[in-house]
Amino acid sequence: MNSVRTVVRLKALVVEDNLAQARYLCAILKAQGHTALHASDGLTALEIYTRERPDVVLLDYSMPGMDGRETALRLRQLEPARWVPIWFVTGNEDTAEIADAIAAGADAYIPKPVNVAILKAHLSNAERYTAIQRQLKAQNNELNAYFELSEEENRAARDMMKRLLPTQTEHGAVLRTWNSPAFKFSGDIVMAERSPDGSLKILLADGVGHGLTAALNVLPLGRAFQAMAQKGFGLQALVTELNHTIRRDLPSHRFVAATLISIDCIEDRIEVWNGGNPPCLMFDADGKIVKSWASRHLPLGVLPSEEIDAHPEFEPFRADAQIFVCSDGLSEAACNQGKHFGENGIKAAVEAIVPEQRFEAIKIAVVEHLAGHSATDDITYALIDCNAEVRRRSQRDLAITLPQQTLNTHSHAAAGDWELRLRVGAERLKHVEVIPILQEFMTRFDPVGAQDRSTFVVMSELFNNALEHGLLELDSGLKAEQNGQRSYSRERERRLALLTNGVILVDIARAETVDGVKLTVRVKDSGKGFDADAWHVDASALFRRNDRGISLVEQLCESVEYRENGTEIEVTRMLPVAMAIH
Amino acid sequence: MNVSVNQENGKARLALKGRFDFTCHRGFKQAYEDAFAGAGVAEVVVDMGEVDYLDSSALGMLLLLRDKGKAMGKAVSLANCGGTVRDVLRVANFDKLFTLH
Repeated sequence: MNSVRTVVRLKALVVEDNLAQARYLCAILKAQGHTALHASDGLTALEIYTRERPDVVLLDYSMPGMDGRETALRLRQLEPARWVPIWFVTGNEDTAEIADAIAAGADAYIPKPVNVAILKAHLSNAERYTAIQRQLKAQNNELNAYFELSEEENRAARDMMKRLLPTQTEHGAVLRTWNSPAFKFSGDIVMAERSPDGSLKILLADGVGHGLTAALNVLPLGRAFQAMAQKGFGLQALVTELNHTIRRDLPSHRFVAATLISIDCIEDRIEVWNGGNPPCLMFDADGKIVKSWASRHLPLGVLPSEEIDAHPEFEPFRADAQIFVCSDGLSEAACNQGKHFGENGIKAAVEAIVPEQRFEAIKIAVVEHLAGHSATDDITYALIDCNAEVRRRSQRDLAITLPQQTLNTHSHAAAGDWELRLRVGAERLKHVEVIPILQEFMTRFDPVGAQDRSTFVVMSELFNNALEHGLLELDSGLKAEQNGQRSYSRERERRLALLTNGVILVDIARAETVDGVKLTVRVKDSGKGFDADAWHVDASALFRRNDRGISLVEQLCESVEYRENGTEIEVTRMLPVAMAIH
Repeated sequence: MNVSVNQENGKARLALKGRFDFTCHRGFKQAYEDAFAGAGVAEVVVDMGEVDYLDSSALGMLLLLRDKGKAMGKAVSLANCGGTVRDVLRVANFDKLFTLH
């Protein structure tokens, strides 16, 4: 018979009190290319096993002291995680004892005198078995290493995300959010950013899929949204730019469902754009749904920029309202019977609950609905409290109308003097939002001065006045009527789209004077103009609230001059040292 | 999800059955690539009649199908979209992108 070439080198432990027998067995083992260890009793066997971790054990059944049976039992207890073949070697032919030996944990029974061919056959099996064991162990180790690496990468990714998508906890009672991911990473985000004009922009985005890939889908939006909102871009510009960002940064099958909201309690306006999310809802003081903004647009990233409809829907601001926005994970959250939570779930949760408790009530209702079932999709919702927004604004309002403080040029010294002259024609005016660009310019040239909200307000008012009254010839009186905000905005849009002629000139100069830093803003439009005195008298009638419009400009500036029939307005403003906080 | 392709009168019909989700990516792609490659095929119709679940990944796959159709110069349409399928397509406003039979 040809000897089988040993492919796997085994470490064998021979437990045998008879030295001659032991030597014989060890010799056979070594001849087969294996390593042989010897223990002459049970206790030593346990000791050697612990130290050497053999691949196979040959055990003499009848030994003095701890017999083979007990040794086998104890050996098994030493390493429960690994099954090592234990072969009883015995001269005993008592079948009852043999059966008992096998029951005691032996994998084979080899009769004495040991037949070499039989032993070799058993060893061959042991080799195969051990080879598999070793392979499994190696794969397990590799898997563990992979897992550790993956966990580490996940941790790093999570940290990175937290930094790139800042939370909006500073909005306190105005905006509350609940983000419950289905896996380690949520593909949903909620972001909120205050614009320089005091309005609050909110974004709730839901990327395709789940987990890390979904979270990566929404990442590009974070910075873009924040930057643009901070510069004062409106919802329309935000939608267009975010759509462009997704289209550019992600493959075509990865889109982002998004709801964008702007609440402006100063301009009395709520704007909503919903592309692919469940309806955005407005609750009144009693918790009834009084307005529902359904998804009327394709999600971000699907259409090219020229084709997207970025127009938001307008609604008058209501101080007693709350606005609810969520991703489909909430509306599709299924209970054990497979029923979706849906709008009915939201309605029921909010019914007869006071506004302050509605946020929690919804969370409790969803958790109850899921009834211990784990959600298959990320659940995200946000609740905007208009009342809290009004309360917040009345606190901040003081900042605008505070008298100018004594000046000290040191904080502005680094900025130096500069002048910017911008001339914009009708075509540009149709497509570009000029004020955020001016704001951006100011931020770069005069970072400290640019933080002054009043300056932003002044620039905005003068520019909007030139565009809306000068070129578009809109009547602010429209705003005072019922649904006036909506009609005004629609009319503004309509006229802007039709505008073919017209120019607006903006001239901003910053100069350091003996009295401090002086900002001069001059805006001229090519419109027909008006009778400055007559118009001035009607200011309160034209503007619904006295804190907006030209009257506000007059409050904030040192001097206001109307020229050329009101087509040119020049104001000067002394920049304060202590900056108003937004 | 099961996908079966049938060709008839210049139209390749992809019949989908079951859950249309992120696990179907490869199968669906293979199916429509085969469909477009068919001789004399001018239109690919996706029959959603037996689809009981559609998620955002599936919508993404439909977008890829649409892109492929444009690249091949062939028409793409969706048929038998009812129940949840129709609701999901409607919320995403995909009825503006696809012809629904």
